[in-house]
Amino acid sequence: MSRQPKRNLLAECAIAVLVCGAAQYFVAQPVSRSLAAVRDRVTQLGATGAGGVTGVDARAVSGLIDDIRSAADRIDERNAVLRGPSALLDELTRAAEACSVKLVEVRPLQTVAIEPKPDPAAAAASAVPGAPPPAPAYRDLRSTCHLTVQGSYGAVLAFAKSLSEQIGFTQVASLQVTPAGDGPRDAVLAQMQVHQYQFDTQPVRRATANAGHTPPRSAASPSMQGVQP
Amino acid sequence: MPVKAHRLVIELSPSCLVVTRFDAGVVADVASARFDTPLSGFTPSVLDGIRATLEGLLAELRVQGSDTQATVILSGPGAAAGAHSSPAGVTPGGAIHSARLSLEAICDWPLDNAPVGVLPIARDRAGKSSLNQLHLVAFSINPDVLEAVDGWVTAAGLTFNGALPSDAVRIYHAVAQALKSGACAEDRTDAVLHLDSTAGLLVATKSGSITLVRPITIGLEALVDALLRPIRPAPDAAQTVAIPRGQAERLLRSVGIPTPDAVVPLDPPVRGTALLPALQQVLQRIGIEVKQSLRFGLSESDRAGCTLGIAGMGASVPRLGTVLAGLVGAPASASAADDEPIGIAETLLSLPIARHVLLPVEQVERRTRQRVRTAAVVGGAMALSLVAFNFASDRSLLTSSQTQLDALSAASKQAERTAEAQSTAIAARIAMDGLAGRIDSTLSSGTDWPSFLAFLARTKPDAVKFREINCQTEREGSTARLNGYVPWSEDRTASDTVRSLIDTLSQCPLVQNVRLGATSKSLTADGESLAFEVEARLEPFWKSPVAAKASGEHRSVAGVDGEARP
Repeated sequence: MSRQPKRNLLAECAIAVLVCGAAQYFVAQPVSRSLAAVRDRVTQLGATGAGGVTGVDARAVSGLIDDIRSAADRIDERNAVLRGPSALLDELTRAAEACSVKLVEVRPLQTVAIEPKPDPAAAAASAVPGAPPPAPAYRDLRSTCHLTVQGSYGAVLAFAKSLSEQIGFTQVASLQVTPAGDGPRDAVLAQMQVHQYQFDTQPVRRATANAGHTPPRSAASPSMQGVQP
Repeated sequence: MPVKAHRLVIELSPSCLVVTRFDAGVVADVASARFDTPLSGFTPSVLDGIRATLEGLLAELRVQGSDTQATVILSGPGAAAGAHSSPAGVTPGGAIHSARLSLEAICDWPLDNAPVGVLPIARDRAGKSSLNQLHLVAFSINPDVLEAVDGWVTAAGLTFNGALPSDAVRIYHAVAQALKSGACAEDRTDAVLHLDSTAGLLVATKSGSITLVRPITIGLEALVDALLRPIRPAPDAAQTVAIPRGQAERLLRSVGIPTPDAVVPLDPPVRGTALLPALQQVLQRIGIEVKQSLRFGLSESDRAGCTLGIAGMGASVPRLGTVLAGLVGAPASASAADDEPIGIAETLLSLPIARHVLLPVEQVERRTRQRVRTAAVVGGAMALSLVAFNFASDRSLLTSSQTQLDALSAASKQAERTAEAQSTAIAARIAMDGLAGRIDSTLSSGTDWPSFLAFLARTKPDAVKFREINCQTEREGSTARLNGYVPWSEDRTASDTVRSLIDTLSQCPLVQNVRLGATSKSLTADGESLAFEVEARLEPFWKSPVAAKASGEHRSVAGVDGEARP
C-alpha cells in the first residue's frame, strides 16, 4: 500500500481511537469515578451503622431538653425578684397590700455568694501545672433583707407565709413579733429577717445551649449583678 | 431474455475463451470460442480485440448486468504457478517465504508489486520411508496483465472478482486429490497424470507422501488439434476426411485412442490405423515429458514399481492411460473418470483456492482500505456504543447510589443530632439535678416560721398572751423564744395554763424540746399576771412547702422522681 493512503488510513483510525478514548476519558470515566466514590461513601456509612441508632426517641429527648429549659425558666422567674431593689420593693408592697399589713421598713442588708463549688472537670484540668484556677461551676446568691411590718397577728402570719410562697426563693430566717405600741389593740409589730436566694441556672443553660432549640426567656444571671462576695 | 447470472468463470488462454455460468454453484451453461490466431499475450490492446468475442459469449449465455461476478482463469504468459514442498518442521511463515522464493524463479516479472498468492494445500500423511512435508501452491499474475484483464472484464459489463493461473487450480486439485487418495500403499510409488484441455500435471506419491509434482505442457487440446488434420481413410485412398473441432472433441471422448483394428464411426468409417499416426505424435510428446519427469523426479528403485494413472479430463478419454503407460514403461493404474469434474472451472469452484483469487494491487489496497475504514467505523461505533452504555449504566447506578447516599447521610445526620441531643439531655439533666439539689438543701435548711406561728396561734390556750415571739434560725438549730403572760385569775390556774402551753408545744412533732424559762408575777395591762419565758427548739430540717414545691418541680423535670428517661 502506498504511503499517503496508508497515512490517511492510519490517521482515520487514530482519530476514531482518539474519539473513543476521549469519550471514555471525559464522559464515562468521571461518572465511573463518581459512582465509585459514592459507593465507597455508602459502604462507609453502612459500615458505621448510620441510621442504625435505635432505642432512642429523638422527640422524647428533645422534649426532655425543652422541659429542662422550661424548669430553668421558671427558676429564673423566681430569681427575677432580686433583679433590683425596686423589683423587690414592688413585690413586698404588693404582698403587704394583699395581706393587709403595713410595711413599716424595708432594709436590704447584704448580698453574698453562697458555697461556690468548682466544676469537677475544670478542677481536674487545673491539676495541670500552669493552668488557671478553675472557675466555680455555679454562683448562687443570697440576699438578706430586714423587714418591719405592722398588722394583726393573722395578717402578719399571712404576709410571712406569702413571702415564702410567692416572692421568689424567700426564706424567713428570723421573726420577732411584739405588740404594736400604736394602732388597733390586736396589732402586732413584726420584724423579720428574710433570705432571698437566686440560684444560678447557667450550668443548665450551658448544657442545653448545644441543643439549639428555644432560647432562654430570661438571661438574668447572678454574675451580672453587683454582688458582695 | 437476458438473465442475471450469479457467477461466471472465464477461462482465457491464448488459443481459446471459455465462459461457464454457474447458478447456485452448479454449472448452468458453457460457451466457448476458439481463436484462429493464438493470442500473443494479454495486453490491453490484445484483450480489446477479443472483447467482442467475450460479449458474444455472454450474450449466448444470456448474461448481463454489473452485479454478475466473473472469475478469470488464465493460461499462458503472465500467469505462473508452482508447487512447493517444505519440511513439516518449517514454520508456516518460512514455508510461505520459501514458496514465494521458488515462485520468483519461474516468474519473469518482479513480485515486489505483483499480486502473489501462497496457499498451503495439505501435509503428507506420516510414512515410515518418506519425508513428511507441507505442500503449498504459489501463484502470481503479472500486474499489467491483471489490470488489463480487470479492465477487459469490467468493460464487458461484469464485476471482476479476481483471477487465478490455471496451473494453480490444477496443482491444488492434483495435490489435494493425491493426498486424499488412500490407494498409496507402503513402499509403492504411484504417478497420476492430471490432463486438462490446455495442460497437465504429473504427481507422484509414495507411501502417502507427495514425491513429485511436475507440470506437463501438453493438454487434450493437442490431441483434438491432431484429429483436425486431414485423415486418409485408407493408405491408398485419394481423398482425405476432415473432422470438425466439435466432432473431434466428441470423437476423443467417445473413441479415445483407438486400436489399429478399431472402426472409428466417421463418414465414411475409418479404421484406427488412419487416426493413430496423427495422435501418436502428441502421445509421444506427452509420454516423453512424463518419462523425463519421472526419471528426474524419482529414484530408480521408485521408478521400478511405479504405476501411472490418468486423472482430470484425460481420464474420460478411453485407452489414454493404457497407451501412455505403455509409452512410459509403467503399469497402468485404474483411473477414476466418473469422479472427476468436467472442467477446470467447476474444479475451481470446488476448491478453497477459489477464495484466494488475485486482484490488482490497487484494488486490493482499495478493498483493504475500505475494510479497514469500515472496521474502524464499526469498531468506533461499537466502542462509542459501549462507552455510551457504560455511561448510561453508571449514570443510572450513580443516581440510585446518590439517592441511597442522601438517605444514609440524612439518617447519619439525624443519628448524630439524636446522639448530640442525647448527650445534651444527659448533661442538662445532670446540671438540673445539681440545681434542684442546691435548691433543696438551701431551702430545707431553714424553718417555716409562719407555719409555726400559725400552729402556735391555733393551739395556744386562750388565756396566754404573748409579749414577744422571737424566732431565730441559727447554725445549730432553730429556736423560738416566747415571752408572754397569763392573767392571774381567781382560780389561780395560770401555772396550769402555762404548763398546758408547754405540753401543747411538746406534743407538736415539729418541736424537739421545750424549756420553760423564768416565770414571775408581774403587773400587766390585764392586771396581775404570771409572766413566763418559754424556749422551744424546733427540728432542724423542717422543709418548707415552698421548698418542697420547688424541689418537686425541678426533680420531676430532671427525671429523678419520674420514670427513667434517656
